[in-house]
Amino acid sequence: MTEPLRIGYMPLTDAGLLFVAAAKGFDREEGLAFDLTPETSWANLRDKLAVGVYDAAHMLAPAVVASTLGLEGFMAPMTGAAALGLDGNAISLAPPLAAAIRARLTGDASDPAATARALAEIVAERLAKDLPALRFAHVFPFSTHHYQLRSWMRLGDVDAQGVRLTVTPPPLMGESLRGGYVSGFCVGEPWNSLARNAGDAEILHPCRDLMSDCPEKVLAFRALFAREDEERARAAARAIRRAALWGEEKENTQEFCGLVAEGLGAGVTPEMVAATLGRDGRSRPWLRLDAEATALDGRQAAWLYVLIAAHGQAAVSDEFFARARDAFLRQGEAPAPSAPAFFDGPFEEKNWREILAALSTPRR
Amino acid sequence: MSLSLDKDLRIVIADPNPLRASILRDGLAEAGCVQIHIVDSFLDLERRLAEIDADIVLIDLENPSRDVLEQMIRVSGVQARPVAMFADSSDAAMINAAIDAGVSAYVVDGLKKERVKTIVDVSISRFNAFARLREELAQAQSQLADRKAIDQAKALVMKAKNISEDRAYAMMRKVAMNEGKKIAEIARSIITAAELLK
Repeated sequence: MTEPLRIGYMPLTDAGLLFVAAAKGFDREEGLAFDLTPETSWANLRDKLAVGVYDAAHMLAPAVVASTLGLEGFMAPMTGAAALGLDGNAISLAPPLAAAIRARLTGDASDPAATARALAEIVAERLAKDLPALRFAHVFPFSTHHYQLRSWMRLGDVDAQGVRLTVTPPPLMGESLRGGYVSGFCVGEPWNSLARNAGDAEILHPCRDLMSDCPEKVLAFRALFAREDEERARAAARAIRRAALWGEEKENTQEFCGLVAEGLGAGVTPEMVAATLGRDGRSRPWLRLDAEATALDGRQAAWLYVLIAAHGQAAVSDEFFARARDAFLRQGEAPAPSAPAFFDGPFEEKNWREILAALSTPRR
Repeated sequence: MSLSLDKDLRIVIADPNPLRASILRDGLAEAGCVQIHIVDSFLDLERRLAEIDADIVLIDLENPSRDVLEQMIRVSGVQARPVAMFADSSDAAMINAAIDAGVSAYVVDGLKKERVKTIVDVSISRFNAFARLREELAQAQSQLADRKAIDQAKALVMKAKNISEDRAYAMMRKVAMNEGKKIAEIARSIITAAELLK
């Protein structure tokens, strides 16, 4: 007998482990039947999880930490039970802005600090000429996309007066670039590749070049559910880990990428998925969907709190730091998140205030 | 977003569906709301809403641009919150009714609770009315399609067996009853078969 588990998700490549777990029966082997429903917005997922339309949701990792800290403006705490992947976003620009950055580049085009310095020059000149701020889109106030975009700009000390951040639903990103409503965006796959293939965008940096092994999406439960029915939450986490383990086997690569692409539909090919995961034998991985990348621990939640607080969305306090750590159920040993551009080596909890300061103050 | 006097409440209906938007606008007008703006294009939503300086934004729960509103309420400086999660979440019945109806509202904090409740109640009932309307329309369309299929099949049977319209219809009805199917289903099978045998 399997128990149904209603799960809402956003149609993104990092929902892939859910598709694979359901298609290959890893959910049933853990006594669950994943009932997957695509959603249209993070707000909708959060609300439907809160009122019980869903038992679990594919959720932005920072939004789970924010809900635990009560930053959403209402009390609907969530608990992360498994990571659905690490990293996976990229920064893409409208072709004219990408060309302007290349023209000014001093240094390596794959170095985010070099491109950010070029952007800083462009922004300073626009400000001097009284031109309107350049607009950049991300996907949700509490999202790694938001923090990665701002971290990139900080690397070049881009004048915040000259840029404006906005939220755009991923399916509208390409059209927003084409229409000139935004000049660039940070979004997860498949949306960068789709915008590039349509000729609307150039992919500038996979965000893994900016900060690596950052929890991106997690499988979230209502905090109360995770407390009262922890075994069910952990069973779902095991099913996800098994899907990832299965996908790591070389002979399963093709089927794995095929299942993820099939789950997404609309122009996404298995080849695109393989490239994103670095499983095509050519590309560097942007997104980690391997078994190690499904582990969750308190250090990751602490790192997300540091990102949230560094960007002014939460007070800086020991109490918040301690509470944030409880946002995730511990599932094994997760890889240490790091942001090598700002400080050396992985994120260490004992240095959190120092790291937060490095993230939130101009570099020169 | 800013606070304003009750009667000057600026309400935005963000909806790409013109019929639903007008049904909702009429309902709000009846409830005494004067300043109602309809926004039907979402590419530049943030700028449009900033220009209108809305107190309440009503939007389909399933609209992807809800995340744009989540961002706006966070940077607006004014405490505002999504009513999908609503007004100090004391009114669970209202939350469930809104989610069932598929409407969400983003409201500037500090507005009178009763006023917000009225507006949300009107939105819920109008969203439901629209859903019923759409259902009725779909039903009428499928009835029309059924009738067309039956007429077409009847003509095929009349021609093939050289019988009257009434006889043809009676035959089809009998087959439908024997097989426990709808007459429209039998009609569609006849049409498919006739096409195969052409």
